[in-house]
Amino acid sequence: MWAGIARRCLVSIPVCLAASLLVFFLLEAAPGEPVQYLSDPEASAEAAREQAGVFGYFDPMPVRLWRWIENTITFDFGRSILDGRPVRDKVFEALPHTLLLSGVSLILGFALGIAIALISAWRPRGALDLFISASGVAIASVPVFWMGTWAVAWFAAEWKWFPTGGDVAIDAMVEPGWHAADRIYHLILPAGILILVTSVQVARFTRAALLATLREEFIQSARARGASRARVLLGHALPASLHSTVALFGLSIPWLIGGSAVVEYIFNYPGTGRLFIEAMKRRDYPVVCAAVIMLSFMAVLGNALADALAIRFDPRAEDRPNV
Amino acid sequence: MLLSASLRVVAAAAFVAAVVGLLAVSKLATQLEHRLERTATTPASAADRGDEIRIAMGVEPATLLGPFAENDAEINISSLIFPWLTNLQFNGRLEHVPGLASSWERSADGKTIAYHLKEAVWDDGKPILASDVVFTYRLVSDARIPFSRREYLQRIESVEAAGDRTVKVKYKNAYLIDNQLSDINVGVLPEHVYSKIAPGDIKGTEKALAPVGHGPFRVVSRVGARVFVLERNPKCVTTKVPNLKRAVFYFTATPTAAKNALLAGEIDAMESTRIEDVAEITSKGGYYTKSRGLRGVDFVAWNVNNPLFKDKEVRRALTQALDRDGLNRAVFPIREPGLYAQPVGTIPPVLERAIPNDLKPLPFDRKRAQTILDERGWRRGLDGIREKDGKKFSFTLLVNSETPRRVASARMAQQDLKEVGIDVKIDEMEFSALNKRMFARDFEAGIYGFQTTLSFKQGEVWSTGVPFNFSNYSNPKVDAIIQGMRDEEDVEKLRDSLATLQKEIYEDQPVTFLTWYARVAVVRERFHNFGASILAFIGDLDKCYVPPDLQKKFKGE
Repeated sequence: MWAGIARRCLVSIPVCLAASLLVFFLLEAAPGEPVQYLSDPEASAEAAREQAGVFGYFDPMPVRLWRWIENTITFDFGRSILDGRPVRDKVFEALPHTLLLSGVSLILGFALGIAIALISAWRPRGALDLFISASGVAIASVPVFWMGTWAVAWFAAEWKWFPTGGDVAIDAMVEPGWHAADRIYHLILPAGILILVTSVQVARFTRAALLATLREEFIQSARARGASRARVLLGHALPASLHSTVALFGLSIPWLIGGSAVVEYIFNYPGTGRLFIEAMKRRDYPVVCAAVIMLSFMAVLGNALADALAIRFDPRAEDRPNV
Repeated sequence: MLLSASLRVVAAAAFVAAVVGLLAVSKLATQLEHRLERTATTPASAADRGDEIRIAMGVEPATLLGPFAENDAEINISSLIFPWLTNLQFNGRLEHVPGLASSWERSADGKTIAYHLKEAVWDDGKPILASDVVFTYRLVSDARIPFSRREYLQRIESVEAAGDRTVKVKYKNAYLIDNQLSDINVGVLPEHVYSKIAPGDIKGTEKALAPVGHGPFRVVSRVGARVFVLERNPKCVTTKVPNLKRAVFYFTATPTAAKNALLAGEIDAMESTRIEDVAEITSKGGYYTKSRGLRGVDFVAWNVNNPLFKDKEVRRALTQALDRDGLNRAVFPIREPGLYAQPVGTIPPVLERAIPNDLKPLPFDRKRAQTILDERGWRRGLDGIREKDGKKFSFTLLVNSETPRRVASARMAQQDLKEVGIDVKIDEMEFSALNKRMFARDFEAGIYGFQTTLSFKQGEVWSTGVPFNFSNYSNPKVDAIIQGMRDEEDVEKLRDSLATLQKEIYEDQPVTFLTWYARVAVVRERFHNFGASILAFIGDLDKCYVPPDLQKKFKGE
């Protein structure tokens, strides 16, 4: 199993490098430059250009490309063009927030999704199943940014049930301590949206797998032996169906890290997603480079985890050629 | 075994969900208690100095060091925590008043200014010396350090300490004293702290965001660059000691996030509020607005290198074809004085007597516009579009999509020009894309805008070949006026030059001025005298106070 995962990781290195180069050339082609964000239009453009020049922005393209590749390989992304702070510091400041938001959303989203799938599969095509399926389609068709915007506008700004954004209250921010309860309180809305979106996908996926499993011979045998409906569903069908769901778990990691960016932005949540969106908007290339590499590695890790979990739940998966 | 594994997963998830739920409920209860406690607060003491204000701002600061402050947030916050040789006031014109320097005198030849410093100490207790001013000047003159105002320093020959509390600044030439004072005026840094850091690293260092300074406030804590807590500095000698005990600056990713935080009661004031948000927030009650004065200007730049816009009479016709007053009334839903106005040029209307009284915006006159176009040979074709020598009067108008005000202006301009037989296609794009096209002069017409300067050093944007002269406008008379103004010492003569300059631009109409607009701050009513001014959003924060009966109490008070 480990050899297979290691092989997958090795293959992913050139993939990450290629992704990084692709982003470099896309940014080269995109309009805009950091100069325009460095000073007020009233200040002379030459002065702003001089500033950007200090950070090597106006070096020839091959020089910048080489610097980009060097940063990618060494994981040393240098300093942010905008504030001169080490990119690594900025990323590591933001990363724990994103891991918390994504981690909570992923775990609870999967738990909820599996629970919903079980309820749906209890009586397939029954009234409850139809209601859940219809709700799932409705939720899946609503864009995350729209959901987030309305959640803040109503639940936070209008009714004041939850905070409008951030990771902790301003009072707590300036006092020492981790403020666990406050952090959880601030997580409810953003995580709630991600949980909702994740659970809908997981529920549909798992329900389909459960229904397929319920038609298998070993389920018929269990029923013939007098096993209860709950026993059949939880004890036989669910374990046999979970291998595809857990594979989805691994594959969801990069999606959640990247996909949570929109939510982070709307909720002013200080994670990597917000950092990277700001960096893209303001053409802060070293930070963008770090973002690409991080997301690529998350994708690789997610795949590896998906493989490992798939093997854990279904040892036959190890013999499949893609592992 | 598999059964127990999957059950364990489900049970663990359920447990986590239950814990989250319980904590959320407990937090809600705590919040409720907290709210009730605040409501029940009664004026316990007669002290009129207390409370804190929480202010939302936009782009996170990269540095709080005075000399390197660039964006609004950096300039605003650094002005509260660093001493400046002189402080600025605006009463129809910029005035320098004592800051760190208690007084200054200019030599007879006008080339040297001697500043006499007040007795003051840095936040760490060390005295502020003339050598700190010299150090700061040398630092910002270092070419390795990004410093956007370096061009101003080029007019200075030397800065020297004459004893502990006197600084002598020698200029290459004598020119307007206000401008001489402005050119050297940067936030002074303590030498004993920042000389230990390599000049190239200063901007990215920890001490750039948690600086040692001297001002009405000092930074006591921060969370990344998202939240800064400033506390009143009772030892401040550069301005009045503030009434408020604390000022908290909170940075949001979007204006919508700031608006929501204000409505939810998480913050007390927000800067540069979008006009549509102002209407929404004030309709809820409990807030007041503070206009910062007309400083922002929007205009349509006509690229005069394009044959369509070469003729100044045609440009005047275009201006007269646009209903700028109607456009402003449509774009600004709030009828509040000082929020917007019709411009005649780039000299802000607040700049006293710089604009000739007889200069009024060219009137909206569709008939006159059509007559001019007819006279200049632009006749309507069968399709209603004007043409001359087989070329249609048709062009593309660029506008950035992020600013609804400008997009609406573009659409209304399109309609107005269609009425006089001109075909306009609108190309909406991201601001960065627009910038690239405008600076490359790769456009026919484009809507743009900026915040204008308040100093009498005005009009540089109309010089031939400068980057912000988007229209490629070139007028030798204008160039000569601007050149003459650079070394002018007499304010009255400067005013006359500005007025002449303004008239020239008005005659030539290289751009059609659409709107003067003010940035608007929205503040909770509890805070009296909130000091948003034309100079800075929080420039006069020292005057802001909360009446004792409305003051919020801190822990232990």
